[in-house]
Amino acid sequence: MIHIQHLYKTYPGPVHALRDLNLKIARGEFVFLTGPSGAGKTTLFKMISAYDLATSGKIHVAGFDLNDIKASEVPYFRRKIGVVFQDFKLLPNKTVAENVALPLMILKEEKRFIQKQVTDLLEQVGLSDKADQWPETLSGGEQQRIAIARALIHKPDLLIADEPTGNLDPLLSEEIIDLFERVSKQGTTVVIATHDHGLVQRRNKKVLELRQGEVREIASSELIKNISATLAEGL
Amino acid sequence: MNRLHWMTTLVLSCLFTIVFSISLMTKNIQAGLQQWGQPRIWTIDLTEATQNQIESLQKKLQENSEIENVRFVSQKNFVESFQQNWASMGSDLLKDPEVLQFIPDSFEITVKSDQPEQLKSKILSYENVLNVDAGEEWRQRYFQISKSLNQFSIGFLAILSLGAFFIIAYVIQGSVQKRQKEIEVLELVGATAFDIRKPFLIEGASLGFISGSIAMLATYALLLLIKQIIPASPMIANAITSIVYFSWIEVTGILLFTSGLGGLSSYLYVQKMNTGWASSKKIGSNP
Ligand SMILES: Nc1ncnc2c1ncn2[C@@H]1O[C@H](COP(=O)(O)OP(=O)(O)OP(=O)(O)O)[C@@H](O)[C@H]1O
Ligand SMILES: [Mg+2]
Repeated sequence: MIHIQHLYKTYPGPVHALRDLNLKIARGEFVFLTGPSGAGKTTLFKMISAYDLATSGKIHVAGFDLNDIKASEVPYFRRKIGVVFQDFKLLPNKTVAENVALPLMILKEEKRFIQKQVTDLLEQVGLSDKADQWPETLSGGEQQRIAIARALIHKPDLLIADEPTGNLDPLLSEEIIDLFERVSKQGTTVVIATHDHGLVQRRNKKVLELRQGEVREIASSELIKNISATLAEGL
Repeated sequence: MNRLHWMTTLVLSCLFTIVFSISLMTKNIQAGLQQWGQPRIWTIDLTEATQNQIESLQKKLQENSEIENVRFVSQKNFVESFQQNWASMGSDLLKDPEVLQFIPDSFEITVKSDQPEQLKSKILSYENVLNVDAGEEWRQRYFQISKSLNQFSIGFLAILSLGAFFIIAYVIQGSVQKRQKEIEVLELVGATAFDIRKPFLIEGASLGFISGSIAMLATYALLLLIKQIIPASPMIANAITSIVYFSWIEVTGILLFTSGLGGLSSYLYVQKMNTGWASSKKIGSNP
């Protein structure tokens, strides 16, 4: 589903956010991506979602070669993936329901079908009673769940979620991860970036750690050790 | 519709009203010139001729189906009518027998012909015909006037249309900038370039269409006003009442033009900004 070779991303500065990164995630996998703040998780997600262009390296996602993709193909690629952005990217002038419906509106689905899907999904993220409100009137956690619902509504082949539980209380966080697991069982590949090590440890899933621009698979039990290592580095 | 849209509609309506008024004026002047450009009254000057000869020529002319009306103007007739019309200026001059000698008898004919050249040479071949004045000189003058009028109004219209074009582009630019974030999000969830451009194209075309329609009405109102106010002297009144408005086909064409102008102006601007990678250009949007 995702195949990355020798990926570099350098921001003006220059800031080398990603250096010679290699990564392979198979169809249907459920993966946590961890790593200290500034490690490049969001940057990696931007490359994977064709939100930004890589500086160099090969990157294939969901059957598209993102080095070589035509501008006119980008929308069709983005319809195959669902992204929960760290900053949500909700439209302030549309209601919660309209925000969630957006990907289906773009696919020009039937109104009735859209309505049903939106109602379904809002219930799963616990926002049924907020459907007609404006995103700005909602709490950070509620906005985050709108973003999650929007990323899932079109049943994408690949879901990438950047800190999807960053604003949620522990109980809600568990519920959202449960939802992701359900989605994963239906065939969607799921990649979740998170700082919440407790959350990761409670699930028996593949964990990738991004550190200084490189990815490494680790056992979830290793996480604790790594925190100590990070702390030691900081000192 | 926000305040900028109302303002723009107002400005564009005024601009288009000027454009349409000039077009309408040109159209009417052209129509007038067209009539004058094909003079239907010809003068046939005669050589010295007996009463018999004149009568037989008159008969030949009357028998021609391309000639509607034949009127004999003797030297005496001519002088009389000339004196009536231009009493103060010519009366003394025309009493001079030396001058009179140069004014021949003539026929004044009303022509309805598709091939005036042929008719003219036919008349010239008749006996006792000295000369036929079919208004060629005037036709040439008409052609010149008509051409310069056309050039002038086309140039003027082009400049005003360009103005309208930039005004609409400016408004669309504002709308795009205001909705930059929305465009970015739409791109990220898979909207195609066309999906994103469509509302702006509609916005531009609507601006053109609405302003064009208002200007159409305004031009019509202006026309009615002119017809009401001006008929002071009978001669002008005649010219004024014959002024016509645009035909339905022209109205449709013009509104298509203003809508198209709006759509195109908006398209050219939006195309520049909506490349599918709008989001990646905005570096540092991640908090
Ligand atoms: N648009 C940008 N321009 C310049 N530098 C950037 C830009 N975006 C990120 N960076 C830099 O790239 C590095 C990686 O940032 P990134 O946002 O990917 O980290 P992250 O792993 O997502 O961190 P966090 O866990 O805090 O979200 C950081 O050093 C950051 O300062
Ligand atoms: Mg991040």
